[in-house]
Amino acid sequence: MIFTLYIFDPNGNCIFYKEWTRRRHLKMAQDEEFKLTYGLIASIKAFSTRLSPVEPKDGFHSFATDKYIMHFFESTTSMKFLLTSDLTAPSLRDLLHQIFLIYTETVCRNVLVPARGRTIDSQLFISRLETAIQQSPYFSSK
Amino acid sequence: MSSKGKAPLLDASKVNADLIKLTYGALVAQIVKDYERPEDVNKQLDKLGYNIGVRLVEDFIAHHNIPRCLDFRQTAERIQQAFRFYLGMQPSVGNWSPAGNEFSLTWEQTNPIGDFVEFPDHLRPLQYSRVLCGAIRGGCEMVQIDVTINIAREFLLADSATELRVKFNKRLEDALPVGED
Repeated sequence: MIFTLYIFDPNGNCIFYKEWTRRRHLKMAQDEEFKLTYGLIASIKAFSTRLSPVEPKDGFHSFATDKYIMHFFESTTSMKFLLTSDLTAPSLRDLLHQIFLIYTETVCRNVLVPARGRTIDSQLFISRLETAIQQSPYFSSK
Repeated sequence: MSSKGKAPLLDASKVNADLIKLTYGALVAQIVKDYERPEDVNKQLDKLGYNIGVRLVEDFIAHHNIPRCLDFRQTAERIQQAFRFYLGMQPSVGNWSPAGNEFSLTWEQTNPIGDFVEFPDHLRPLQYSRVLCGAIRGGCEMVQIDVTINIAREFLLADSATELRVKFNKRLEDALPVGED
């Protein structure tokens, strides 16, 4: 089951957030939550690279608890995509890469949208994202 | 002057290269009218290119699934590749500085976007290819590479080739949230 999706731009602004299934909410403002999430990812990324016993390459992919997995994908241009799912899902990096493709096709190519730092409000992006997520075999719970 | 008109591509998302060249030429002519001083025009062209590069790099990386470059030579190769994909004319990479932080992109006997251009004498300071420099700079900046680009030779100004000199300055770092180190 897929729970939530966060997209961060290289400056750490959350430019897109969407939840499909989320039963618990934090007792804090949403932008506070985004900031903490970004901070967590930045720290994990930096520290896991430093700890690496062998030469690091791609960096950090995901972390898991007993209830959920947080999948992470970062494009070479430092766009960060985070997806939380339940434990049945394997690596969802392909799906995240697909979301990145949808983002470039519907947002980057649209000259009317500033290139960086704006919240995504493209309807085309949202509808194609929705299709991609719902077609994923891990979308609904079993 | 130009190569014979190529058959229009069937893919609707692509356009004939000649159309781009002509449109760009018309745009430059209009900017020259608006700004008059060639130095100001160069600045505008650079900005135009920068904005193109910033978007194009995202598209390029997403569609060709390109991993992060490990050294500057790979970066040069990628830039070369990108020119082939988006402009259809691949420059040669060469003329490396001994330290390996500077190289040239060269199009022999041509300017990739200047097929239909005649340069009037009073506009000699105008850098017609500035838009390419801006695009490279914008693209590199988005992948955390800071570069400076100069036009070393300009075919339109009677040089034997169009040559862009790309110099590596530094790696840019990711922005960290406030309160982290």
